[in-house]
Amino acid sequence: MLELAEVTGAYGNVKTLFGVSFSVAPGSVHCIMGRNGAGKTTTLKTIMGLLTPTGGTITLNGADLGSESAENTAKRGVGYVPQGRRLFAELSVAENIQIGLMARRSDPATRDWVLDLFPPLKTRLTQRAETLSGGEQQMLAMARALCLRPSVLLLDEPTEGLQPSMIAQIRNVVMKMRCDGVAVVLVEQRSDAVLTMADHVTFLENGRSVETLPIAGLKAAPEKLTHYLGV
Amino acid sequence: MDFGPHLILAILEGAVTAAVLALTAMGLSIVFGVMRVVNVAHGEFYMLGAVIAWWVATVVGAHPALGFVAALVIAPLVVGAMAAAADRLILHRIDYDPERTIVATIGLLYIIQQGTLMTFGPDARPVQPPFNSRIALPWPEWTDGAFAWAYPWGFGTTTYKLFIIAAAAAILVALWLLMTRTKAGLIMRATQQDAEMARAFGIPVTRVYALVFGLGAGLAAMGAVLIVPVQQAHYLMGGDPLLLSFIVVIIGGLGSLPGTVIAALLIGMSDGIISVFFSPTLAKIIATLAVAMVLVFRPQGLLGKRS
Ligand SMILES: Nc1ncnc2c1ncn2[C@@H]1O[C@H](COP(=O)(O)OP(=O)(O)OP(=O)(O)O)[C@@H](O)[C@H]1O
Ligand SMILES: [Mg+2]
Repeated sequence: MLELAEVTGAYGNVKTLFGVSFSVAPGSVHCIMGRNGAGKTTTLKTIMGLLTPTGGTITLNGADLGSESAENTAKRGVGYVPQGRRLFAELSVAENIQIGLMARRSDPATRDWVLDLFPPLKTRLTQRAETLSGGEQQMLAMARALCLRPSVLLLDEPTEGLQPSMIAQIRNVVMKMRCDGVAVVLVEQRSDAVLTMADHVTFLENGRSVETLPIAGLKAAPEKLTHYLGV
Repeated sequence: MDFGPHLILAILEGAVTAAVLALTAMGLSIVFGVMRVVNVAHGEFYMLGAVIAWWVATVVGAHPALGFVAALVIAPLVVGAMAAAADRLILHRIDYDPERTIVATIGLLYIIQQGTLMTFGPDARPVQPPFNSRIALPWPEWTDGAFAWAYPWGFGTTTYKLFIIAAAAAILVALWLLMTRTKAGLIMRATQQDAEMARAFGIPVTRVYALVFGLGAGLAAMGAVLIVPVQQAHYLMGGDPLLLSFIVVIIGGLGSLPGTVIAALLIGMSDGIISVFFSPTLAKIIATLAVAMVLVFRPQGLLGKRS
């Protein structure tokens, strides 16, 4: 169980998070929605330990995560798929995957398991990551994170700029992880994708979590999307 | 001596300069490439390498070869450890902020230089080469309608100079293998690409930076240990290598390791050749002009990428 309670955060002196609370159970997909600049990426970076929260608590299975460095957060089994992919651009596909495997000393079987999830990567192992297509880059970003065999998976807009068939593939993998008991935190702008993947949704507004509801609740009250996102 | 043999001699001198310069510049280039740090104190780590080599050779005493081998191992390790400590104590604390890093490394430059002056003193001190036999080189001459090998007077080199070139080449190959074939190299390259993502994937970036800074300084120190039997150790000897390393790194392309080697060969050779035929000052003037030309016509350097 990943739990955030009244998490606040800042970039230097600029406060950006003013109280974010939600919890994600293993085997569920928790979606974070909000307008541009609402603090979604900042929230994920804070969970990951790339930013240190200025207040509130973040715990994983009851143990403190908020004061851990990103290195230790990764070693504790949190996999991160950042916005914009952020691959190691000049490294090969195989090397990007190897970095993922090194974090938790995953066994070679993990490599095969990950490549079986994204078969198109198998024929591109020696290619530099920056030369992959957008869809392939997203697959590699997910593959790299899955190499940690994560118990928590943070996905920041994984469908950004992808065509429907690619989105379907990403969704398949997310649902597979959910079945395997992974706690998935998904930042997503597309409401259609959210409605087919998420178990719960938390809306962020100006760095604050303003409402959390189960997906059924959102389906019953779709006007909330318009209200919080202005779509 | 004729022009031909004279030119060959100049090229040999140039190759020795180039070999040492390649090591020194490679240290600067790796530090800049991985950490984005412009290390103004780089030349002082070179100087420290030479000074510590003298110290080690003196303490070991015994046979010059023994002292030299000990120096070649110990000096880069000590200098690397000092640089890693400087990284943790200074650069890490100012968060590798570009402007503050430059000011901090200028400070480091003076601290090392003056610290050396106070302990080692103002004199230049020699280190014995491990071996140093003269080799006379042959030159073909046309006499009585047939070629014959002649040995013009003064046309030769020493085994030690050839050793410098071979040793530098071997170290560069080892460095290349380290960067491309090992886990440590992969970690350094990943950190170079995206330090924040490296952290998110469990790479201890703080330690990687200390290691890279130490490695960069250690490479400069290796260059210095190789050259000190020819040039002597002196507390002000870090200036020229710093200038030339900057020139090489800019011409080669910031952060490009192959570019750094090529530029080191170009600058080292031309420095050697121009110094022999004209004057060392003219060599520096031409190298500096070359940098200006590169900055104007190819700002990313020979093998660098546009950012
Ligand atoms: N490095 C930074 N330094 C200072 N402020 C930042 C930094 N990164 C983000 N911010 C600010 O923090 C706020 C939240 O940004 P964040 O990236 O978390 O938004 P987001 O919800 O992910 O938006 P988007 O949908 O555009 O990705 C914004 O106001 C942004 O300007
Ligand atoms: Mg974002």
